[in-house]
Amino acid sequence: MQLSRSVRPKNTLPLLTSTVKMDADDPAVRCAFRVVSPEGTYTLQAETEFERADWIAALQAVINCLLNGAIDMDALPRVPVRPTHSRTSSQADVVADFAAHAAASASGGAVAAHAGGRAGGGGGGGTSSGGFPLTPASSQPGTPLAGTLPGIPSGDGSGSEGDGGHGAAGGGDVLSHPRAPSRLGAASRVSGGTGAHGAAGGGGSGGTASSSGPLERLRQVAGNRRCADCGAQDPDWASLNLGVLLCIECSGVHRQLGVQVSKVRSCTLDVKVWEPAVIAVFQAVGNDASNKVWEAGMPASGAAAATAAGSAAAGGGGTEAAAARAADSWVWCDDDSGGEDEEGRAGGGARGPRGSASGRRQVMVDGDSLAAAAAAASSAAAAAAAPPKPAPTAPLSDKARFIQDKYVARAFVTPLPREQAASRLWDAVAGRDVRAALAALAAGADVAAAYRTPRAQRLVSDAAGRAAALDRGGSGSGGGASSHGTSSSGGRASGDGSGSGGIVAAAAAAWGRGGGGGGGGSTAEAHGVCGTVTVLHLAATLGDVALLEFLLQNGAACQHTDAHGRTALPNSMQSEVYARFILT
Amino acid sequence: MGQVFTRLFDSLWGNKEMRVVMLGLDAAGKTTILYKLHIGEVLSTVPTIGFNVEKVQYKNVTFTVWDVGGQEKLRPLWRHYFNNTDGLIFVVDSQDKDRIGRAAQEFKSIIDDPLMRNAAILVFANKQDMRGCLPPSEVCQHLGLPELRGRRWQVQGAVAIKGEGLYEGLDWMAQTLKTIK
Repeated sequence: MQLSRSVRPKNTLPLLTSTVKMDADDPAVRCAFRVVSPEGTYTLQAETEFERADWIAALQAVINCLLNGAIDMDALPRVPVRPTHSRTSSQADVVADFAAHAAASASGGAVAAHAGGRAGGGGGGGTSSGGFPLTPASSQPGTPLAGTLPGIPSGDGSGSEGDGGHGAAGGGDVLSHPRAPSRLGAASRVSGGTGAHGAAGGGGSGGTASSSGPLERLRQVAGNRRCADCGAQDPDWASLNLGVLLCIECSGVHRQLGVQVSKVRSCTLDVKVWEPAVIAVFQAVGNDASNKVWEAGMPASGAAAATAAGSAAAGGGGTEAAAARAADSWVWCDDDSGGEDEEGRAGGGARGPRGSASGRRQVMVDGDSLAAAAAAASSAAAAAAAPPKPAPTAPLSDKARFIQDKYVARAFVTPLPREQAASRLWDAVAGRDVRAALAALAAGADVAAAYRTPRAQRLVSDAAGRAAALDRGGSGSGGGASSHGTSSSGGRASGDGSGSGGIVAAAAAAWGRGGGGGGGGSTAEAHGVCGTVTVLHLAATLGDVALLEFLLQNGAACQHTDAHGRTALPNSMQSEVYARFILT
Repeated sequence: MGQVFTRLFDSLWGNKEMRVVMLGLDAAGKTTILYKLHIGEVLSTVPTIGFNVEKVQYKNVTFTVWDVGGQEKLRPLWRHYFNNTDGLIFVVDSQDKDRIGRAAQEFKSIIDDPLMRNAAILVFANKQDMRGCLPPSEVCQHLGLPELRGRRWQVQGAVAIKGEGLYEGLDWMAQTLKTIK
């Protein structure tokens, strides 16, 4: 049976573009539900509430499977394959002209059951649907995606050999066999009850792309088999900047926080985003490492946090002296930007929600100051008072509160004084350690901050020197200036001329590239001999793709220019990171 | 029977039905807008796999709003919802500057579709309450609306979670569709 647009059976809908709704237009019809699609709506009636729930769950499961499973309609076999693994196919009382593809769809329904358990409200996860006769409210043939239960190629039933039913709310050996919606007469059948649990969200049907997609690689990272925030199994959503995998519910909460806090993407429904650099970030972070940072002060370790707070309080010293010490090693470059400052920060990490806290942090200057002790104590108190980590089944509101505490209020992270956090961030980047960089950012380091300290410049120039040495060893480094010229005129890297004058000459020489773009000239003298650099300059000079990607996703200001008016990224033109950030 | 009377009254009172498709990148706020308009509440939403459809009554117009998921793989499905569409609501996350270019690309491919030639175009520059967001005027520029010829369009700043701007947008759409029909 060919399911192309020309011969799609009458009275069918493409399920790919359909959804199921509980209600009916006419409230007098009991146990009714609607299959809604742009091509028309079918109102169906089940015999009992239970059957209605079953039908809805099964239909939704098939729809989810179609949507999630990257099903290439053209690749489907024209003649649906009858499932061989179905334990109940003999029971199938096949009727109507749905027979052939309904049989095949049984495998589809089963495969989808995994995905559908969630959407279908958990009911009848292990049940499966078959074809069903529909009375059209309006019916017009002709969609290219004739997905009328198209019979997913079961092949060997890969991914469907599960044992009938995780989530078998419908009772053990499910196969609830919902009869045809009675009002509509013609019978239907159901077959196949294999609860395809093994198949990861939609990869179930043999030969779909997602099984070889990024999901498997992402899940291999430690902790990534469970949602970072609630522990739900097999998460298939992700936060690009946090480097963690999430379940769909937690991803919904993350989306509410805004892109400054979390950039949510799907591992299966988003494709282009999964560049090697992005996957490298996930491989460098992962749920376990991330939670060690963000949940460091969780109640489980609450006692330790309290002890730390106590000792910090006991050791409280002179604030002024500590400030002097801190200022000695790290000088905040307040004069760096002026107008650009606003832009740079607004575009940066999770600064919005942190605003109130950072004011407090500014008065703390060292770990042994009283202020830090107070902060640590309050953080410990917050951790102790906070409810424990929500379970996968916890209400959404609990998850929302926890995620808000974890990433926005940062209740389980002990904040560091600004200079100390910055120092850690620079050390982390210099050491090419993404996890340490994450810890520094969580503790309050500003990823977009520009520095003009000798140490920062030394780090950058040293790295540049090493890179140049490598470069010479390899091929020539020609063309740098021109590539820089184009980049600084485009998109995010538009040089704003805020670069200050001076040093990093060694780096410049090492890079062997003239100061191409944005004009830092006129303002150069105003800032004396010091140029300002950001961690992004350092990461770019090191040429570490994962580190660069991580910093950029977390709001590093790639438009910041160094002493020569150069933005950080052109130094790493070789990495595709740059091109992607400019182009997307 | 009841429905017959309803329809009769509708035609007497000038009630109109309009079919609107609401699109935009993932996490722009489409579902939040839909349910804010439909039941007046802010629901906790999860990413939409597939679509939602609800009727929204505003003044004497009944909008049937199709809210279609915005993830990359779902975007090719958008065109299946274009047929017989009176209006397009395109939702932009004004805070997501990194992806405004991508949003503009998707927007262009929607409005260039032959089925959408006659649709009124309403753009919600959503999340105007967030720090560092693009103002509606910049969203307008990024989407290339000023260069658009022969189309009816409007950019409306909005805060879906507070309901700000939503009814202003619908107001424009109702007025515009009346003049077209």
